[in-house]
Amino acid sequence: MIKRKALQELLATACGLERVAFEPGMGQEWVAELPAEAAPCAIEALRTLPAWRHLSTITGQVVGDAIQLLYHCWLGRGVTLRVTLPREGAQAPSLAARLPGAAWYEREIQELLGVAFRGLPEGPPLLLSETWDAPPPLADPKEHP
Amino acid sequence: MTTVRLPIGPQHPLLKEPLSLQIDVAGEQISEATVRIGYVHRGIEELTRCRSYVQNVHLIERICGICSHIHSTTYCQAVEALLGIEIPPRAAALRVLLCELERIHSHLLWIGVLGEAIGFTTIFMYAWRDRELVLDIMERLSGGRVSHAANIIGGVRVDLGAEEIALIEQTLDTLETRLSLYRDLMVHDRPFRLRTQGIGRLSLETVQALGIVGPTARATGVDVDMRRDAPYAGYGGLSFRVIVGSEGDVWSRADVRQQEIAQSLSLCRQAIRALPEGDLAVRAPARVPEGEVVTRTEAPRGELIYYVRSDGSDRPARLKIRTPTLPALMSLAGLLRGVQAADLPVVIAGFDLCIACADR
Amino acid sequence: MLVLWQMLVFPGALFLISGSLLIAWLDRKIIAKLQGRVGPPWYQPLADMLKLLSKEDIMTVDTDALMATLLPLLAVASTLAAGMYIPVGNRAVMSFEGDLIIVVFLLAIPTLGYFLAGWASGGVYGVLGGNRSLLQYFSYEVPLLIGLSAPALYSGSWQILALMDAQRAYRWHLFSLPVGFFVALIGLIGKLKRVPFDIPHAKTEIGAGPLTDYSGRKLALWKLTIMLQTLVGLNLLVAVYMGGADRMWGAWGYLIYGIKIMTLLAGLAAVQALYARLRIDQMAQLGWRALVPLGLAQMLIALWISGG
Repeated sequence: MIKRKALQELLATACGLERVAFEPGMGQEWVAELPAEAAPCAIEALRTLPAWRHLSTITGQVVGDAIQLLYHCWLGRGVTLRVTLPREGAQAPSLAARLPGAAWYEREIQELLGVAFRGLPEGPPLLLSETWDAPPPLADPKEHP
Repeated sequence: MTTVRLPIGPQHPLLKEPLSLQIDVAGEQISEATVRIGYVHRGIEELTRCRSYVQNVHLIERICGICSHIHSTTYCQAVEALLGIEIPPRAAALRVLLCELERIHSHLLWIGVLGEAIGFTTIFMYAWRDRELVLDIMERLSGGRVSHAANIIGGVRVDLGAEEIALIEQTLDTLETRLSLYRDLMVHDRPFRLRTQGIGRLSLETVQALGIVGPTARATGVDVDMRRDAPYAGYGGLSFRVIVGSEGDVWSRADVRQQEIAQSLSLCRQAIRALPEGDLAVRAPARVPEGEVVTRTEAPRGELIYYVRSDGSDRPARLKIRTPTLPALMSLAGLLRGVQAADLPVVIAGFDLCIACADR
Repeated sequence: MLVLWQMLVFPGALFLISGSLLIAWLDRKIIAKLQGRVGPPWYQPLADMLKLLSKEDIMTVDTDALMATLLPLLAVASTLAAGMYIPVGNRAVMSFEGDLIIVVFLLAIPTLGYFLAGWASGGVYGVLGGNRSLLQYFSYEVPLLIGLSAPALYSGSWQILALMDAQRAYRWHLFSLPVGFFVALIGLIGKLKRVPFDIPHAKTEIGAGPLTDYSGRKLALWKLTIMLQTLVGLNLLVAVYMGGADRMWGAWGYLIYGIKIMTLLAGLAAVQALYARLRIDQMAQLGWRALVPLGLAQMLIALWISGG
């Protein structure tokens, strides 16, 4: 059974993230707020744990003036890492080089939200057609159409 | 040897749903494969923002035809968590019953599809005939064979009387006997084994790197099942075995699913026999307080995860869905390289893909 | 005049065509029953044929129009011609010493034509299906020929009618040369491209194989060829291995002959319901590694027993 403190210490030692705490939230998850650019290192650190099973998905959403990336992982219990980015010119490092399973999730966020993932291999869009010329569908500033 | 570009899809007799595979075949070997999805992308996640939580129950159920109930169950669970309400025990048991019935008919559907892919149409006819028994129960209980509208936020809408219980028990008995046919098929039928053993093998590394879930992962030895690891609805009090295989080939996936049907039959029986009395639902307010929640359930194809964020109104601010087919699709292109062209239908059918789920 | 009647009506073209429609219906009905289904009504193959004949005949720009038009005609014609030499009941329209070889040759033309049709259509599925069909052709015509040769060596004649006569008093070649019968039967299944050897037109793999880009009249003729081949092939096996009508005259002869055809058909339908499709390499291996040696062994035994 993994412990929250152990996770906090792991992130501190492996990635130099000193004040990252895992709080219960989102129902049954443990949630940690990460600084920008910290996601790849944190995910790699979590992957070293024997309890690691898989990355469930990456959620992208617009909250107010920011874009949030939520990395939902399963380690025998749900662990979610949150990264907050500014909305304009949002970009994040891609996990795809070390964790190929993240590629399609990142690509989806790229085309539906307009976030650029550095290091994500070039390729056709996942869900939208190549001829899509409207703004990214989920990046709409209106709260409820 | 010249390379021929063989387009499979988006429309092809092999595929039940639109999916584009561009396959390069040199002789009988596949040298290159590209996979593209998105042909049934309906923008569900964006649509949910335009509808109230209650209206979304109707929409969510229509993401997929084969796993409609687990989608609505997961969604309702997420909203119930945001509301802080707990559904009555009878509703929890009924949700389990419908989820397991859905698992049975989904696996039977897949066994038939696999049989058809290898030219064994008799298995297809038998499996889908047996599947009709389950669909008849669904229709009896809810009025719909495929979309049941059985869940509401706060509980369920359908109920079982003595007659329905007797009918279900009888059907479960019939399915139990018919299941032995599929067991024999897996173990004893030589042509079936010739066409499925050693084909489409996924290594443990690939499964872990891509985050593949469900029976496909379990067939490669990954021991994850949300019903046991994160019990939801009424699963907490029920006992069942998580089936884990080892070979990771198409045969192993078929074997895992066939055994899972047996486990599901047992779970259905347990749910019926221990059906608690009480209400079917609790009242749920239309406005959901601010908050976010992550829910995970075990759909027939694997872990289904929903993330819901509410902003205090009666409509979701964000609904994110990741269906279990998506990671499996990621492995398809890599897996196809080096496969014999003749094994192509077996590999594709052996994945149990639900493209409508993946595209949303 | 009599010969003309026999060629065109009975036991010639008209009989063969309507008989093959009947056989096709029985085939589908038996398979349906084995699969727990109801199956089509008796007029279904006829209805399918009429429907196809009334549909638009589309040819893509890549299709070789001359070949695409000639091949199905050639296929139907050669199968009908082959049927002339095989006794229905007790008589054949024509018969001469050596006609067994002619019949096998005539029956091989549609199979070759089938693969050429795939190439002529110019479509990807057509070409791939044609390639597979060619490989299958090599793997199953040989066993069929070997299987049919064994009775000829045994009874000392290459005339089908004479072979039938040689089996009178129930001394069927089926009993004296069972291995040969088995080899010929499997060879026939391979030739007819039935399960487990239906790779060339495996729907889930390559559309409809060589016939993917055909429609209307041409497709109707190809479907007819397949049905005719089934009847003529069964006819051939019954005459050469199962004693034909056993020289019983009149209605009895036809009845006996009909029962034998039905029995073989039921066997073929059962195989279709019970087995999965083999992969092309597995099918080729079966043909060359199992059937051909068995067939050759049977031929040697036949020679030895007949003291020839």
